[in-house]
Amino acid sequence: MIAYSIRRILHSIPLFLSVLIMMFILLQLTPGDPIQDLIGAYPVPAAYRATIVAEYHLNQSLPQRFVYYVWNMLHGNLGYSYAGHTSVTSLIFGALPNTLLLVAAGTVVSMVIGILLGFLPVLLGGRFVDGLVNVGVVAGFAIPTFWFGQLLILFFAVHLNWFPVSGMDPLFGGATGIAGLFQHIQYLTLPVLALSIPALANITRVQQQSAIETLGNDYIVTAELKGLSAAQIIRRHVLRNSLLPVVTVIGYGFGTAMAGTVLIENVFGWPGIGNLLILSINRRDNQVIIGIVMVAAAIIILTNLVTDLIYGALDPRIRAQS
Amino acid sequence: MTVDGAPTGAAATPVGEQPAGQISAQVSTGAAIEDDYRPPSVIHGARAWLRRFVRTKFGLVAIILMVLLTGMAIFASILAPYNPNAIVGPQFATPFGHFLFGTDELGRDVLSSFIYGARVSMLVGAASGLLALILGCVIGGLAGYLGGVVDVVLMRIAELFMVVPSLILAVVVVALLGSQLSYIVLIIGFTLWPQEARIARSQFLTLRERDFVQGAKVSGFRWSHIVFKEILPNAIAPVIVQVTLDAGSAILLEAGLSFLGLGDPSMPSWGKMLQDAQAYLTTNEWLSIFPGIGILFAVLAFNFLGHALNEVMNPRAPRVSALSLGRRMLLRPITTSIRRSATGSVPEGSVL
Repeated sequence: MIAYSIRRILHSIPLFLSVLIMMFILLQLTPGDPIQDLIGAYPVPAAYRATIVAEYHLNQSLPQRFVYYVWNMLHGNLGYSYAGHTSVTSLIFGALPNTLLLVAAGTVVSMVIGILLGFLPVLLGGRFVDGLVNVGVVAGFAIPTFWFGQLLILFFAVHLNWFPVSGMDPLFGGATGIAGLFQHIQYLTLPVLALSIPALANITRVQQQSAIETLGNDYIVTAELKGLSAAQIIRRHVLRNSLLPVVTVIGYGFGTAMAGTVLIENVFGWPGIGNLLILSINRRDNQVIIGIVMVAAAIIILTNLVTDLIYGALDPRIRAQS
Repeated sequence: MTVDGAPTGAAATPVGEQPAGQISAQVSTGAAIEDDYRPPSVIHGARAWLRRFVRTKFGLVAIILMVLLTGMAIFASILAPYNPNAIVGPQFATPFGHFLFGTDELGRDVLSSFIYGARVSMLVGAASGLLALILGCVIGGLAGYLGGVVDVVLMRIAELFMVVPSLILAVVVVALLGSQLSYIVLIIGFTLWPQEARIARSQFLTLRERDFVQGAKVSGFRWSHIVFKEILPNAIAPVIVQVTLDAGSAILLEAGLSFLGLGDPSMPSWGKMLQDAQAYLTTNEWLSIFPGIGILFAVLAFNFLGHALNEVMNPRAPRVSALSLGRRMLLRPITTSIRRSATGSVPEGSVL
């Protein structure tokens, strides 16, 4: 297990470096003059340009500048936001907790409901249930999440008036105790529902397939011949074994939610990094844009790593394979 | 194009194909697993192929949706009652009156924008899908055929593209480089290819070891003959299925980009309409409902097409639902289970 973990951790370092290189190249390809952006709509004085070029090492070769870039990043310095007049790091880490709350809640919801829905047809039987779940999966893959969010707002917020239309109550310093929790949940419900749809469809489908495949295994026949009841077979053999493939999909679903949050935050006015990303795009604040991608990529690589480690811990066959 | 219109019993009827009634009976009753398996048979001619396609679960719906949406896209200028950019009525006219879908905040006809919106979505779906197909086949094929260092390097690159989510990558690239439609098509194609490449790679990897490929090698055929004439025709079916499914993702990605204000500003698109609708969501809900339905059906059209193609091109794909199997597993007599496991006809890996 330790050797497997170390191998897996070492594998993700070059991956992150490649994302860094990709973003660095992209930044080089971007049209426009960063010094002009810095100063605004005035002509740039030659002396000022020289100072900035020297300060940010702009006159050095690309590889050298890349080293500076990585060096700064390792020190938590993602650059300076020209439009926000503050460091990129402080901007991103101000918004990140809100996004993580949304994405984590979405992942949990899609995981729990997805596993239940995927298992439902096997447990209940009945053509109707099966058909309903399948239609749901097909629709879940095809519906645009942001439109689904708008529909949720129309029905549950505008028509029924059960939930607030948009926004988020502050994570800290609001109402406390049960009332505070209730308030959080009220603001969270609709965006989390909209966000969890694609991952939910995926988890349902994988859980369903995996349950079918597990049912076809020889050890199920053996268990049957041993005289175990249907409930025992499902609990001891089918459920545990069919959950394995779902673990990887859940990790992948986290990545999907991390991307989907850009759209959902804009529908619901959620003050997270998705909103920050669009704000920065409208302000042409390239440093912030790249910084957000880096942070998102780092979080996703980390989640994939944790998923693989959990998978390895659950299933000895995986460890032996790689 | 209809099932009934096709001349049954014509000379083109392929060997091993079952009468239509029998198939639909299986689908509706969820018959035993042994009966659900149809032996793969050679399909002769385009007509027989089309007939089999239409008989799949989603085939007919896929064709109808595709024809409708593509027709809407191509003939938008004829079908649309007004110019989508022209102010033709009062602001926020409610739908089902003089204007079927109502008018927007400027008094433009929503129906006309809706019809023109099909253009961007269908174009992006088809073009980005084609790009992903080409990239995936070339890169995946190279990796699988050559193996070794090339394989490792190319698959690492594919993994890199899969780490950064497509939407975030597309948003950033469009934001930094520009939002012409050609850029959007290119970028979406570039974010989708790794899936196709992985499938193409595994196909090439197994096929290159097969006897007929080895035979062609021994016979002294050039590599181009082996790759394009021997391996590629046998490898491409699952890649095409994946591309069709990914074309749906491409439409969703474009709609997402437009919703964020990063679409091509010169063309009306459903995502852009949803962005405009966001501001008036609480008062003028129809602005949001119609374009959303458009996106949903465009994605469904490609997804259904993919499922139907998968069923036709991959006859081993299971048509068993979770329910029928689960219930059978628990209710059937022991003897069948032994027989079933002895024949080993357990399905694996389905699209749905």
